Amino acid sequence: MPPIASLPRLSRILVLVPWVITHADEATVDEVCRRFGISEDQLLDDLSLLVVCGLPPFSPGDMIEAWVDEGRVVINVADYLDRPLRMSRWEALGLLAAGRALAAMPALAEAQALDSALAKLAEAIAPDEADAAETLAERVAIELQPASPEILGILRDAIETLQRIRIEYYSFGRDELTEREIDPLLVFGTGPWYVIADDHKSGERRTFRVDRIRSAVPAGVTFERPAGFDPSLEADRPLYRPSAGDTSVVLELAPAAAWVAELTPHDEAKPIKGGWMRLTLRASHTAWLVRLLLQLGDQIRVVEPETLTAEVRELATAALARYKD
Amino acid sequence: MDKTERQINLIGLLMSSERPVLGTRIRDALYADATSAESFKRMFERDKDDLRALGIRIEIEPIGAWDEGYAIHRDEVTLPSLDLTPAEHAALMLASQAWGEGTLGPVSPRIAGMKLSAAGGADLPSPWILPHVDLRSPQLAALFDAILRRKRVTFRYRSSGAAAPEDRTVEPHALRFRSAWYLSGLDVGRGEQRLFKLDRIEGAARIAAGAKPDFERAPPAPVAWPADAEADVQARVAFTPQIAFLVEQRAGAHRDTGRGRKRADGRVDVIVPVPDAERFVRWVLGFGGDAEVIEPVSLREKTIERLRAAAERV
Repeated sequence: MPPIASLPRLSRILVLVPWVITHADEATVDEVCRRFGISEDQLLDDLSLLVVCGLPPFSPGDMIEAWVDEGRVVINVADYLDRPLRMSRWEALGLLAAGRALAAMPALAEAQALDSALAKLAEAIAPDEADAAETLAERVAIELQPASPEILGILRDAIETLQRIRIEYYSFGRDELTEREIDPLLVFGTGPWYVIADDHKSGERRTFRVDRIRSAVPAGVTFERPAGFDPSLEADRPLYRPSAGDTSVVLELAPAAAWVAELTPHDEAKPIKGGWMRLTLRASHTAWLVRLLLQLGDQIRVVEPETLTAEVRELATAALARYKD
Repeated sequence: MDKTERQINLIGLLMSSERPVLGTRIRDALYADATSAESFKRMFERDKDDLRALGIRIEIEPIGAWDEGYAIHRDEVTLPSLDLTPAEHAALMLASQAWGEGTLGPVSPRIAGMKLSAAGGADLPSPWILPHVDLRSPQLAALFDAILRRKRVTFRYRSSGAAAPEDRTVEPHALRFRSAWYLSGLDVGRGEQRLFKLDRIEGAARIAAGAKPDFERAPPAPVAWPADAEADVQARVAFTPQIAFLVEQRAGAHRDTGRGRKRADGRVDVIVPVPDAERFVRWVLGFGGDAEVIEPVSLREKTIERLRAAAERV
């Protein structure tokens, strides 16, 4: 479970207490801190708050008991705090939307269980939020991009059974088809889909787009799951991670090309004359930029690097050669 | 007494009591700090608001014929047992992890998973797949609220290709996520069903004043995605093998098996629907020398024209 960032103290306590009570075996100080995104000091503060709470007349038997015993959190409380609160519409929306999106995935064994679970979820919502739940079921839709069920199936097997696979991968940034062995760890996204893997070609952990995997076969070797790999943290990581050798790029976009700014991670987007926009970004490879320039024609201008313009001319000339017959 | 301490005690007092609790008893037990009846009332009201925001309603109910007291109904405010099978529980836990750091409304939806987990049941082993729906759009909560209450919304919208944003007033019908969030609804100024990309809304969406709905409930109209437009034209494009597999994944595209052969140079022909000529040419140009439009001739000519312009670019 991912930690919940900066949950207000009372909400945290109201979910932390029942969790500790129902998970007595797992509730170590470390685990509780990780799940609820708090420091050990904060946890100890919460526990010392709990022990001064109780029921009037606040005689010793009326108080909540909470302590740490050999690294474990122990909480004894009268039954009023032992169940979590109902879900708010926002929480239920999150779960419903993601659940429905998942249920539609190919290669997902959980799909059936999800369908029946989502039906039961309606019960979890507060009665005066029932309208909201119905509305969101009817009026909020998540669509996932399709991905090849065959490739997804191979990735799933490989991740679950820790099998190294050999893939043919089209690198968009460099415009080349590569062959490499990877240890896949997690598929994430909503379409496009990505797979995070330890890549033996580069020796680094890399993110690959599932639709750019042309083929995948088991390499006949197993791998060990890297220690400390936390799926939810990985999926939150930005797709593009700048590095020192990156090229600094400045582009100017016509209003009709404004979508480029929406799709491309950038450092700065500034409006300039005539409704145009100046976009500053860094790129590890420039092959994709050259193709982008070719696509957009006079809707885009290069400020830097100057070499890009020459590269566009070269690419266009090479492409034109195809048409000479 | 510290505020959080007092609020926990208030929850305890009202949840564990079988009958409504008199205000005076609440004051004596928990609000000894209050120096006057007025200040007790103020503190108590604030606590009630705080708890209501978390979903804990404090009800006012009669005690006997003359008095009134306060109550929290435990079964109404706490999560009931959902009778989930282990497989269902695991499936919901998987769904609950599907969120980025964003928040939707006042609370992160990830807490739904925490609540499920806190109600008992095992956690799920590390998942192989995480759908990652972005909830960071600041507009989501307001627009959902407007859909729910059937209120018109007004926002500044920069439509694709427009130099300047314009104000739009919309009867919001549905929210859809397809790589990005979209609002579908009736554009009141234009009298048409439209689709708005949330990323293109500038500033905050303003909800019309008043509690009364502004429009009738209607089933959400089917949304015509721009890319789904009917295509009368089909193009034949020759691709190098390193690209062909990518293109074949595109909706409506298929390898030309009619001819059943590769070209002598190893390239393969793919038939691609063309809903819009300009978009198509741009899409093909994105493949550089890996794509050649074979037919129709009009699209081939258009592509060549653009390549010539680019080859002379300064």
